[in-house]
Amino acid sequence: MSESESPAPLTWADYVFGRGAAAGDILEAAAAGGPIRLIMGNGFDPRALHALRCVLHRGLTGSIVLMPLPAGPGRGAGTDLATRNRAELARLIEDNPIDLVEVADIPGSDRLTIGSLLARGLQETGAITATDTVVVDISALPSRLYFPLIGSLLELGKRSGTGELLVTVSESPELDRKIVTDGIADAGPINGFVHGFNADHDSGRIMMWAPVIGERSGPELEAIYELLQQPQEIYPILPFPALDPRRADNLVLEHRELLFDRFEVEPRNILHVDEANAFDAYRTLTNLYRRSKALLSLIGEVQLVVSAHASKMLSTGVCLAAWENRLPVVTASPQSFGIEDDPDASWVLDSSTLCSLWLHGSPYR
Amino acid sequence: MRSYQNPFRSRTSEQQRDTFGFLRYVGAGVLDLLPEAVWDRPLIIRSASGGGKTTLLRLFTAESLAEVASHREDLPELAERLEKVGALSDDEPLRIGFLLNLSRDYRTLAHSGAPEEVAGRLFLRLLDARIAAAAVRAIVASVGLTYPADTCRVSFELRHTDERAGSAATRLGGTKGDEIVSATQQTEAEIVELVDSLLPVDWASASRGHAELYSLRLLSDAAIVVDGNRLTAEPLLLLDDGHELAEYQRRALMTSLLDRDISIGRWYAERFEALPAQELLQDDTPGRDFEILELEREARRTGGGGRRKFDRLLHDVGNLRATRSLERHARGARDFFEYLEDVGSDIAPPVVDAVRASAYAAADGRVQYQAWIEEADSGTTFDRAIHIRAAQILIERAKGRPQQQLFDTGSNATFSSMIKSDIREAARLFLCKEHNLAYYAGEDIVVGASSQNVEQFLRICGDLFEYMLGRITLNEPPSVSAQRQQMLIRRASDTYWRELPSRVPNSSDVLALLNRISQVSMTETARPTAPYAPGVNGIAISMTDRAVLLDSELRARIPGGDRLFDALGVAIARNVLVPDLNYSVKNTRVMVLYLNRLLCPRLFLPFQRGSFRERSLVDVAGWLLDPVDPPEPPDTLFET
Repeated sequence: MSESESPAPLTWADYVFGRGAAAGDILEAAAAGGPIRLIMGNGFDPRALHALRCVLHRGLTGSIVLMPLPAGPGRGAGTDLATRNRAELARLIEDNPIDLVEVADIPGSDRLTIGSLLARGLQETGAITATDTVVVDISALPSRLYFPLIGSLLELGKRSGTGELLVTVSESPELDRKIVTDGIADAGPINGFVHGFNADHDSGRIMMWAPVIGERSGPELEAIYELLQQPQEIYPILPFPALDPRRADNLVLEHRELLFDRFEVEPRNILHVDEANAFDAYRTLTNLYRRSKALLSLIGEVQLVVSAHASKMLSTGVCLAAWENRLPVVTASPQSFGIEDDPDASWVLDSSTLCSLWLHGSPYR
Repeated sequence: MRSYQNPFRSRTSEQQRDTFGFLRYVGAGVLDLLPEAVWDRPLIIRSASGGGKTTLLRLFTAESLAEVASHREDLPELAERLEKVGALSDDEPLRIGFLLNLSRDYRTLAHSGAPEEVAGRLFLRLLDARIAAAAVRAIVASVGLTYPADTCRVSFELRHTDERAGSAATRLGGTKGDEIVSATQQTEAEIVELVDSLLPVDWASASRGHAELYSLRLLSDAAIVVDGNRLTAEPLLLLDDGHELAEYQRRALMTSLLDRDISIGRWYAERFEALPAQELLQDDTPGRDFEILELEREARRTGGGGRRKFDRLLHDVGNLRATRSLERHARGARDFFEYLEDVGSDIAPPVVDAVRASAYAAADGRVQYQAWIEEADSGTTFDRAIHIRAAQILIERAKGRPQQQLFDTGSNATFSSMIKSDIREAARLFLCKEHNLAYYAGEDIVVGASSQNVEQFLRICGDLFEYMLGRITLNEPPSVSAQRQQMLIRRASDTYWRELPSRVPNSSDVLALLNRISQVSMTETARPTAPYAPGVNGIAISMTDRAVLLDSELRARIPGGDRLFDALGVAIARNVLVPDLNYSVKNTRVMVLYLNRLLCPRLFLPFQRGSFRERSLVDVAGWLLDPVDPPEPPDTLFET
């Protein structure tokens, strides 16, 4: 980038974001453009129906697009929770004027491509059109599904200039910590977000990696580090400010050996982002990429690879930055999920906050 | 306070971007594992993750060979061995190796939603383009030119031994280096964009692909020319991470690699995960057109010195990594392993007294038994304690026998003739466990704990070196006591157990199997008569049962059979269980399934192979339907 060239403005320099009651207000405002198509997951997560309840509580109309989960509905206590979620969903549909479109799994699909195939499929079958008001509730969706879904809908919106796109997420750091995983898969880029990813030593690119660090993510981080074949720079992203002010410090302690001994992370490379605001992570990653690209362009092409191992809120920020800047997103997602114990429904409700992010549509036109 | 780097943790050698840095840490002994015929037929290299495949392949890249050729004095062992296998001459490389990683985006292409026929052709076209461009790049590197600026100085001169080579060149963009690189970039952009699309794709318009790997045909027929001069070095295709391919891609690639008209060297590496459980449970297939190098199996092979070679390789890797740091930080002139104190240094005389008292109690006043104890009571403190403990094992065995047999044994055999190495080893294990002495210490144990896996070895050494750095920081010599080694190794073992659920797919079934094998091993090892001395660390099923397991129809009739088959496939592929097929025992043949050695220290089990318990297939399959809790260590871990 030359000195006279000014950087492109951030798509979400100004943004629409609300928590709690404000999240409902945003959904209501978006629904003014037409009935809502709520895309949601069909799993064990106790927060799976949070957004739907809010939509129904506000008296909004529309339909539900229920996505299949590649890792199944959950294991252990998760299986019971998934069954309970299904029963509750059936009851809500029966009691309210809302339709259900159930998307079938794609047999033989791969964990890295399933998301893009489903996202393309929604458009090919007309389940989603360019003029729809779409709400993607990622509370019970894995990142390999919601990254391509959000990316595909942003692409559609960008090309058509019509429609509304919102993302909702029921946030609960306490509940996140209760979710346990089983057997990570080999790392790889999520299809739709491959963006020319190439980790070969002879690619001539400067390989940088910005992982959003979360609890118990050591094996995932290791698998990705192996895939990236020793990135030249690593920028660990830690949540701060956070509900638990010591969370970032605890994460450093938990991953101390991995980050500093094996990955040889420079302590000054650590970045902090607001745990509760996806747009902060988006801004931080975008600025990191743009700054590195400008500074290092003389010695080579920069490839900033991102990966998300923390909350869905922060992952959404990663998704936005990756989509806008064409950054490769890699994952070493677990093969199945479960939950440590069967959390009490009222505790889940009390500890969770619904958040809405309006990503495309009226506010930006 | 100064901070020190741990050379075992910082980077695995294969990940070193700097070629010299990579070569400096490579144990040249890895080249001794290669079979003899590696240039005239395809070589297939297999191992579990961390087995050393990539390191081996990377040694033969044009960059590595050029670096070794120009730094012979700094890398004498590597140079000598590369010369011996025919990759280097006195003054220049004889091979131009180019390494392609198959983990990139080929599998994604297979699952991109394209019809299989289209995806298959696109796969071969993309791989073809990348092979051709990688060859050009390697040629440029081998003659010290700059990429991509000097690609125009490279060309392929057709020898016309294969009439199809001309059309192959046309498909790849031409015979000039720069034309090939440019065509590759176009192909990449076209296919990768298509596959990565988030919007619907019209596959019908994207069907231009390749039916075979034309690049191999071109490279086989053409002479390599740089600035008008023919090179004598031969191209060598190195393909890594084949397990990442979809099954049909792997099949198509193999067909191309096995083509007898192809004359260039071609090596292909994959993890065991690529193989179906069926193949993992099979033995060698003789009479094939290719060579197979299975690193772990080669390392375990006793004939031909495989195990010795591999142990020496690990020894070299450990020293290469640590020596420089030890010299710099501690002014230490010794090898890494010399800082590890040997077992037996932590025993005190009261322990011998306690062992003696226990043996006499077992003898229960019998004169003959007391004579054994007296005979055993000599030597250094540690040896004395081991011998007395061994005498106690013999006493326990004798007490369990009928009187006549006991009398026979006592009259014909001397005590020293009855103390075989296995009993001695069992006695050492009992002694260390009962008196909190170090059993897991010393170079052999550290090398053994790797279970023939370099990555596992580096982790254990990393833990030991971490402690050495701590001592260096405190201005103390970096030696590690035997007790401390044991604590660190058992802690590494504990971590390995705890991380299994997140590292192994299908972990609940794999763990159900491991827990039961561990339970059997612990029970048998703890028996006072040490019937399977030095102790058990595996189970076996008969080869007949194994045949049933391999037959899907017969297997389905056994409750838990299919689950066992899948769990075994995962456990073997991930090196959690180590199979030994066709093991001869009591006039029958069995398939032994040993625990990965790093699973043993947590449970205080021995490393030695050869002791296992046989179980029926029905019993083993039933274990998966009736899982038990993980066995607890027989003592309090990590007290020191």
